[in-house]
Amino acid sequence: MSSFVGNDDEMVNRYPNDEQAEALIRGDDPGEPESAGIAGLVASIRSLGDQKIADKVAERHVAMVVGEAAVSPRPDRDPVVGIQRPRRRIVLSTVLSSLLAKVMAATVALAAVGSGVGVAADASVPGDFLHGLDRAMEAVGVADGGAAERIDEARGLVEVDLPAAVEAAAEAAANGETEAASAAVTALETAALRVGDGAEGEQSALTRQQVAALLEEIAAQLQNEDGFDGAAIAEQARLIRPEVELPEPVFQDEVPPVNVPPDDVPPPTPVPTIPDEASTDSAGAPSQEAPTEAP
Amino acid sequence: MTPFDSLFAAAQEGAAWAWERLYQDLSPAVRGYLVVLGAKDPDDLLGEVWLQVARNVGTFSGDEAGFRSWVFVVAHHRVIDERRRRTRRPEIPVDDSAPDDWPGTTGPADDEALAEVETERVVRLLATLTAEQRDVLTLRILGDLTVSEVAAAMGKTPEAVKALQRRGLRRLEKMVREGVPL
Repeated sequence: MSSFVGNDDEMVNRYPNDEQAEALIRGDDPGEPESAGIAGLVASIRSLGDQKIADKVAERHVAMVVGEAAVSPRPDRDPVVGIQRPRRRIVLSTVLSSLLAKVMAATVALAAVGSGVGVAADASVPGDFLHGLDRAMEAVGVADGGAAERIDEARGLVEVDLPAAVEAAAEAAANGETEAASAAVTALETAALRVGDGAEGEQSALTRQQVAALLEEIAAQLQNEDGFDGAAIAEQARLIRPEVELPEPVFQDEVPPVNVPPDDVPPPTPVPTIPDEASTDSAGAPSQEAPTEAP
Repeated sequence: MTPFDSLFAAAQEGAAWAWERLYQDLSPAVRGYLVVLGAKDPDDLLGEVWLQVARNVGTFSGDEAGFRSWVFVVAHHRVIDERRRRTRRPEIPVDDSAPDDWPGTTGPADDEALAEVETERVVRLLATLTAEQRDVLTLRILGDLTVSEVAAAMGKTPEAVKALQRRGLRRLEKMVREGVPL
């Protein structure tokens, strides 16, 4: 069989051209002498779509689907009301910048698909990815203007490309202009790196739930009147696929790393000292001076 | 409101009859698509496709053709996911004496044996194409997607899709002309 996978025969066989190819794919016989065999093959391919699904399989699938649809997001329920935050410009990190091209490529592809097939509208229910996304993005005050488009892109990507969706969410958050938004971006960057770019499990229910939980936590933190706990969400982001080894994230502004010193800061070096007999004990450790008694 | 609009609205409301109708209308073609592309367990993958469709049913808006295209795009991405998994974890062949390891060749000899033999032949021929040529041809023939829809699903230009389908058909035509049995 491998003998057929050889040099492309385009140079020696010009049939079919584009028009003839379209006719073959439509099921029309182009009427060319060469067309008989290939038209039959195309018909055979098409016939694969006529094979009946086994009754038991169909019953099982329909039961699953009906159950899933009953809890799926619908446009007519659970509207999300966001809050607006004061803004301060923050800069996209190098991670996001490097991923932007990929996100945009996927977005363009999705938008193109949407022109023919229809795409996601906004709808979410508590507990799913989109709900967390909605709340997080609206909480950082980016659910309007151009960022809203990015949120829609993330919504559209979430079921077909989870990593790109997380990246798009992070990009949207990057348009927020609060320090809290900066922390959200950092956490989302970590999530994006952990979700990966095609690794097995990236689309798993567990990963999806973890990302949803992260977004929910970001939203909750952003609406917390007592302040934003960047360390908490950073830690939660790290729990997504913890088996993935990443370099320690670079935190922005006031958000510190969690229990990990920066890589570029060497540990403090002990300064050698000369023991002072008057002020050290027998082991050389400093000792408190004994109070002198009055004569 | 078209009949499809009514059907789809009922599905969005969770009507079992509507889902059964949608499933019965599209599943044979989707399963054929999964088989041609070498899905290890096409029935399981078909179930995953429909679960994802159900999960996102509230987010879809479009007509019947759009819905069909959407379902096939979901199936396409599921196939890609499975390819990645199989690439990362290549399976060790259990029977070295098997003539080939083409996908879909492990079906039991039952009442549908003849249909399976025919399916196997088509799968073998399509397996000689590049993955992209095969994706384009199957999305177009089995999915009824337009060139633009395939281009969007695969992240390519319409011109690139036309070139892929042209070359794929040429290769298949050559094999047929040289006497490869169907």
